[in-house]
Amino acid sequence: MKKALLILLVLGLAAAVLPAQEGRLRLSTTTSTENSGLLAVLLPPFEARTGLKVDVIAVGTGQALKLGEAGDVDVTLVHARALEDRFVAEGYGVNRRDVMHNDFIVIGPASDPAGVRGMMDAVAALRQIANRQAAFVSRGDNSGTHVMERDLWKAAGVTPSGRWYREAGQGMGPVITMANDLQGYTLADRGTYLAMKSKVALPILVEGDPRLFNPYGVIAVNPARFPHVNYLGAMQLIAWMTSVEGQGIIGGFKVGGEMLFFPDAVTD
Amino acid sequence: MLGALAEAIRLLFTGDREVYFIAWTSLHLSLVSVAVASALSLPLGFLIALKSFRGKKQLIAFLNALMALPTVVVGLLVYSFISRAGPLGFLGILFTPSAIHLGQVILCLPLITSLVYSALSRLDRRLPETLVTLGARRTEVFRMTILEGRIAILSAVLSGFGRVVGEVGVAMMLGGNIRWYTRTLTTAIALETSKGEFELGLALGIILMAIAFAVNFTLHGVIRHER
Amino acid sequence: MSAEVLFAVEGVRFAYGTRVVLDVPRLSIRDGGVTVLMGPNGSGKTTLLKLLNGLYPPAAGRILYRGLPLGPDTMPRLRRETVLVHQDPYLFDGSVFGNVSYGLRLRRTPSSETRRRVAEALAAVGLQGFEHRRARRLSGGERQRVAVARALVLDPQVLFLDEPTASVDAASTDLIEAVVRRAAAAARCVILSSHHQGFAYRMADRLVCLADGRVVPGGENILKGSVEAADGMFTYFRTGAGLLRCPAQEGEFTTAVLPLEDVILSKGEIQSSAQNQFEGTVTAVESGDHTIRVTLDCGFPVRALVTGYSRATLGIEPGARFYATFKASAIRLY
Repeated sequence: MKKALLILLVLGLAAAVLPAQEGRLRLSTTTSTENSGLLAVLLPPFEARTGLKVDVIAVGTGQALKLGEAGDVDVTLVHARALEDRFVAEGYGVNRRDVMHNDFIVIGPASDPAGVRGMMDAVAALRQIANRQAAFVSRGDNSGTHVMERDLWKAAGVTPSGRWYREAGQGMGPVITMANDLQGYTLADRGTYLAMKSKVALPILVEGDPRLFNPYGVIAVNPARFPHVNYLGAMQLIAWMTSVEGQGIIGGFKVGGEMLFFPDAVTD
Repeated sequence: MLGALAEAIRLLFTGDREVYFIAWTSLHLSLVSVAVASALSLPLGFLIALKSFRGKKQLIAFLNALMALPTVVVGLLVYSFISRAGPLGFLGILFTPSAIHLGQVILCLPLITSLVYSALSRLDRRLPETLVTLGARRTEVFRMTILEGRIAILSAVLSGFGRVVGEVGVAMMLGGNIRWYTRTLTTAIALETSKGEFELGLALGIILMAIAFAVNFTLHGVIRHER
Repeated sequence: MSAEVLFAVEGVRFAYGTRVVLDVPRLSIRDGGVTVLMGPNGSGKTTLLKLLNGLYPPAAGRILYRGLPLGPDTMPRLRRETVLVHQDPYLFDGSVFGNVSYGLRLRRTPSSETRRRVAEALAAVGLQGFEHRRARRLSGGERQRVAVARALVLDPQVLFLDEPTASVDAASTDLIEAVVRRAAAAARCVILSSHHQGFAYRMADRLVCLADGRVVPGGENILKGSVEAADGMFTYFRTGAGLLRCPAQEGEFTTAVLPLEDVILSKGEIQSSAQNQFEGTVTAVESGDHTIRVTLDCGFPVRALVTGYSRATLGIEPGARFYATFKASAIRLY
């Protein structure tokens, strides 16, 4: 009995320790992208067609790019243009392509104490929230959302601080939950919001300002720098995402009957 | 809470494929990690208990300190080693189950060693003397000591299991919470909670507790039968 | 006695931490019969037994078994030929059979032979039929006997027993005594420790006295024999060629104990109140710290203590003839 257990143990260990690396493609992306559910629809046809298994590692934008800088992933899909450009300029990534954009919205309590409902100017809206010192929850984690928020405050000429401004240091979901608990304002990506809409009492108050557009870029990790990366697989994924078919899936992806992502790669 | 319980039962009995897969991942990852850690801890704990050597006190203090490390810190430390940017990057085990195994072994090894050591040091001195006088060699003394102290040692192993099956820091950092691959019950709970899906998170938590209970129950039963 | 020296202790010291519990510059233990290490609790008896059985290395000095120092080369032989039984022994979880057969199973003895030998060993300690009883549920005396059986079943040349009567009831004491005698009679050597004087005297063919970790010279003659006759005034104890007059008492005595200091040596017969006087030849004279130990052969060995002055004045040397005189009341019978 004991000998059998021992053999089983050794076999199990061997199976566990030797991971199959062939046929796997590592994609780092943001939690909001993963949570939107888009990838669950976009990736399976790609996997079926190519036989590759895509490992999606969803972390914050900063960490997603850091994984690329370490060579721990093969391709990355994020939405922070400035950071993406630096990623490529510093030689970590190659062949960046636009994929899609979604947008950010300002959500808040239905009572709207800062009176920003319907405003088309997001910068002015935030300035108003700051002036009224209305409760506002920030991502505070250097994510794409947080970067967008910071840029807006900068354009508004406001340095937000004080009890009304809470830096959560968490992902979009928990931040929306927190804003709901406090019945305060927050800047959210439409995708995460739509997924959580039924659970929170925070209507959309400001949307449509082009400054709130959130473009997504896909970048392959530089194979010259990291010879071990699955470059061909990465390029196949980029091809898929920017193909007519892939873009069609992106455009057809709806949450609560609403379109979430707007394809940018191919136009007719 | 009741809603979560109902959800848990529904998930289990409607045979939701993904939940079963996640639960199975949690189970086999933890079991293998604990098995490897125990294989190292038992002889180590035995040596510490039965031999005196220089630096023994320092080693014990070091083990106790390791046990206090939060799982995220262990995850970070291992990550810095096995990332491609780190010294062991060439192994390519980051974001695979092997990385989780590595982190979890590091998590529970000091715990199990420390508990085995304290269980064995409480064992009667007469046991090793009796075994030696009857002609037992060192490996036999080790075997019989483990056998005679098996209840306490099982306790130690189960404590180790408890520590790793319920941890999220290592699994998340080193496994990446990759769907259908390295997503465990704990990382799934973290994910669902971050999405605001509290009920689903609780339901997964109940499943996790059920698994832990089942493992405890089974192993205790096996040991009792061996008498 | 010309028996082989089984164990020789040279310059051995042993300490627990800083407390020195054993300090024996020189000691020999001969093969055959029963050697008893006697002394109060804490005198180092148990430690000495464990060192002789090679369970721990001495802090200083060395121990020789059959002339060779204990070490990695000689240990296998020691393990094959000697077994130690603890005071209040540790029994394994399980059956009596599991316990007694353990050593045989270690030696890969075939199971039919194991069963036979276990049955014999259990019978030898009066526990026949106990194979399937749960060892830990037995009484103190029964557990002790299981441990002895566990050792005897291996047919050791030397059996170490640490305080064999300490944790047993009176009935088991007699049984243990019988077992020890049987073991000694089978040409085996038994080395046991005891703080119980009566038991020690009855069992001992040779006595080693320990106090505070040191061997102290035995202060007593131990004479084996039996009661030959008794009248109202005296009990007559036959030992060797001598018949000792002892105070009248009832009992089956096997041992007469006579302190060395109660023996007077004289060149000629003396008239005194002492009831015992024997003539004999000096066979050995040993100088001690302050006194001299003289061994006389009077048809049985008797030892006395004299001063250097007496030795010189009386000319006490090997070969000389002297009378040994001692009172009946100086003799204790066990």
